[in-house]
Amino acid sequence: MKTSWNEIQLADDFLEDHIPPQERLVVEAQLIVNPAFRFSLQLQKKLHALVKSYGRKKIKAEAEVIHQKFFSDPGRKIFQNDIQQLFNNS
Amino acid sequence: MITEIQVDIRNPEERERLFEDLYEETFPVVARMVSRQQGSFQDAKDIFQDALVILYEKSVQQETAAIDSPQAYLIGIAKHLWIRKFKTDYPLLSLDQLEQQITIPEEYFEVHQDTNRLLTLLERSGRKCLELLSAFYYERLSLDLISKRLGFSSSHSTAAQKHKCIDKLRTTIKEKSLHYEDFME
Repeated sequence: MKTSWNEIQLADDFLEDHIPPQERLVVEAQLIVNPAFRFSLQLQKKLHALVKSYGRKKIKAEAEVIHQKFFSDPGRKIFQNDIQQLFNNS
Repeated sequence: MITEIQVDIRNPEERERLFEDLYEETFPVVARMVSRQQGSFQDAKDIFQDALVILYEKSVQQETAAIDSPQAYLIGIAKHLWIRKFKTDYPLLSLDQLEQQITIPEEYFEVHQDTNRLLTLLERSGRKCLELLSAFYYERLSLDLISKRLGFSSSHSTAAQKHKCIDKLRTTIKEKSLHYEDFME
């Protein structure tokens, strides 16, 4: 079943705290009395969490490429040895 | 020395340069901190990379009005991560005034097994949609910029595609989630 644009927009605004306090109370009341809306909001929350995990994974992958570059580049031997020494002594 | 974030962190090339500078200048500081706390090289690497992710998020979300010194900020985040991850007592790691103001996203270490399983599935079946939604929700790019990056003809068609993607991923999440309780965290 297709979810309406308005419903998704409302869920996004609610999850990202873009709703004024008075309107938020109305939405919170809807969440109590309307299980379908509650489920829809939880679904959107899950979607947000998945998208965030994906974004974080991508940024971490970029950091890992730089890490490999720094620790495999023969031109950075001094950097590599300085770091290695910190952990050899412990 | 980097004195403030002057680069557009959303731009992949500029971000790469910033991350390289930070690796060069700040990884040794974080590694020294971790080794003093009896941590391993792997711990230092994990903490530092997580700190880069959080620095990126804070810059993108403009949570901090201005990050005057990304180096100092990154060290502060790394300290918080160390304290959080290894439940170290605060007295062992002192936090200065700036560092005390830093907050780490509450859910950062709470990735559920179900989320990882679903993400792997979506990466196989819906990567294009993940790219689009990540650009919108995570990178906070405008529809106009997303259109240019992903090759859509206009902001309007990007918005329509975004809606289709939300529908598609919601349906997959609904179908593939094992437990109703997954939605009731």
